[in-house]
Amino acid sequence: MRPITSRSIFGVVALASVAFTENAGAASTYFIDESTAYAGSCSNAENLNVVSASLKTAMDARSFTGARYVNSSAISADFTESCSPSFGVGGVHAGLDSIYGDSKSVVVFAGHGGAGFFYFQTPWWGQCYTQMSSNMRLGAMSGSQATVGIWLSCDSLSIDGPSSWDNQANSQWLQQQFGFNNTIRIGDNEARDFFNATNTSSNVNAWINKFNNQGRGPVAISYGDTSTRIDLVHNSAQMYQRTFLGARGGWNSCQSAQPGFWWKSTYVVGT
Amino acid sequence: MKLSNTPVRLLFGTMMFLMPTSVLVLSCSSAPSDPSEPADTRSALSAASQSAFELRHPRRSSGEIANRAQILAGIVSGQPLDSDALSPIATAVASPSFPGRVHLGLRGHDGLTAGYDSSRDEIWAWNESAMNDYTSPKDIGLGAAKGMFKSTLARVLSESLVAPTGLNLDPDAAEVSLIKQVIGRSDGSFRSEMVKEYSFFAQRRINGIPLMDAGVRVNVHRTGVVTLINVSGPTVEADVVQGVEVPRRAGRKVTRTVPDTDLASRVQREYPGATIKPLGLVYKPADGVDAVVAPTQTYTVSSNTTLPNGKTMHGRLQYLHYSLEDAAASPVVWPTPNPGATGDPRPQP
Repeated sequence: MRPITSRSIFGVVALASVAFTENAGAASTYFIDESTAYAGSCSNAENLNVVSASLKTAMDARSFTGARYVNSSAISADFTESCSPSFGVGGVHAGLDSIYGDSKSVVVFAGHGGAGFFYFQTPWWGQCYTQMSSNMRLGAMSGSQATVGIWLSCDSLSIDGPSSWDNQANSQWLQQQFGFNNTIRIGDNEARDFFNATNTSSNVNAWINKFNNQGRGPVAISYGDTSTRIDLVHNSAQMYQRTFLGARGGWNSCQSAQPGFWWKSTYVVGT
Repeated sequence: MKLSNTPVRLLFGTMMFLMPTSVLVLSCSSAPSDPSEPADTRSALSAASQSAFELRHPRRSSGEIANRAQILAGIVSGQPLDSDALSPIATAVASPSFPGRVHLGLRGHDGLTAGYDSSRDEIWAWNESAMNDYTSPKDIGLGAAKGMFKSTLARVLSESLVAPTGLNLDPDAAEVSLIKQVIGRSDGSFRSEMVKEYSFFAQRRINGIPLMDAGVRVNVHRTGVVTLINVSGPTVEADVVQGVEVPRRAGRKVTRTVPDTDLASRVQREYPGATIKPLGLVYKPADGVDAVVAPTQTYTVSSNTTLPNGKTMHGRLQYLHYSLEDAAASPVVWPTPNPGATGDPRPQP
């Protein structure tokens, strides 16, 4: 077995220095939308348990600030790009992400969903879902503050098909996304436990190890301009410690083409 | 072996559905079939085939928790740890404000973490340094990883961190998943994919029936290093008689009166259009609460909704636990829905 040894003082100093840099100017903020009451105007899907309330409490305890909207207060416009109506409903109604989902560093959706989209209880201009590919540009264009996306819904980061992430999740401009490859259940406090585990573990390890059971297929993806950068983000980002919460930057112009990037994922599949 | 009474037939059918072959053989060989056994023993074993068991969550002292974590972390790190390394956990657990769950780094051992959750008597140790090894090209393969799992599980048992009762020690019977890594460039000019860790789970069963969220998980990095050990689940109040767990204390016999075929029809009727998956019989412990728990006929359901754009929405899973004794009882739905939930007031535009 490989022995565990304390890292050198130089390594610790170097890591601390990087963490300090990543903290500079980063806002410890969150935006959460959660839908639990689905038997209504959008569908007759099952009602759900609450999974983000204790997460919010834990983040508040760490002096994060933000808002958590639930059921009738949570709408797809919160995640829909606001810079142009072309991203919104029918190409007419622009989204509101610049004042909601893309105005905070940690953005969370909890509810029903599918591969690359989220499903809400309450319609917005008749639409109950928002789609990563055609509607959402979190971290980019208007707003441009979102850094970490946590998707507490089924199949949000599905790996069905080799280009699924390319066509859906990767159209955001976040430093990290966390979601699932399968249809899953989520316990009331599991998102909280994940957040608290990032006290001493990386976001990636905390997510994968928290949800690696009952075939849930957790997925974590990190992004960056270089392969070195994605290694750093993937192994070092810790929400609880408020590291790597600064906006990624570099894709601000409305409807402009997405710049090139590297991505790195850790995910779980059955055999 | 003649299965002449209904409870035993049900037990056998359940085992056929749920159990790996090796366990089935072991259990059948110890089933109450020997006519030379005293009648009261045969009766007791038949009653145990589907019984309600008292499931307890031990009240462990902070010292005991730290000691267990120390052993686990020592196995994960490959070297003995001094007790001082675990003092942060002991301190956290001993605090009057201990929230029930802790996950901390170990003093003097950068890259090593351990944790404890009182609601499921769950304890774990992680080797973060090994988990973050994405570059080593060495891959010992699934077969060798199974060997690591087997030896690690044996070590966990020898240290009395978990009892062997109801655990299938055959690595081929474990649930296996792969933790994979992918690196790519957005223009498609580079893409690399490989296994990072092999993950094994030995499920705790009571007479062949799974005890939900209970068992031992071991993750093995592709280089052969153990990266995680997780032991969880309540204590089952049972005596093992002829290889069969018999309830003690407040446990009791369950007389099944609701056929599984009735329940299969019922769940289809109550959840039309949903994806329904039968899980068979399951013991679902109550988190953090000592209780007498009977096996339930369990299904997962997930709604399917077709969107205007043609995409299909899969609802988050719900577990439905149906009583075997009361046909009129509503299933226990878990996690428990809360459609009346509210959040922060949304400012009006």
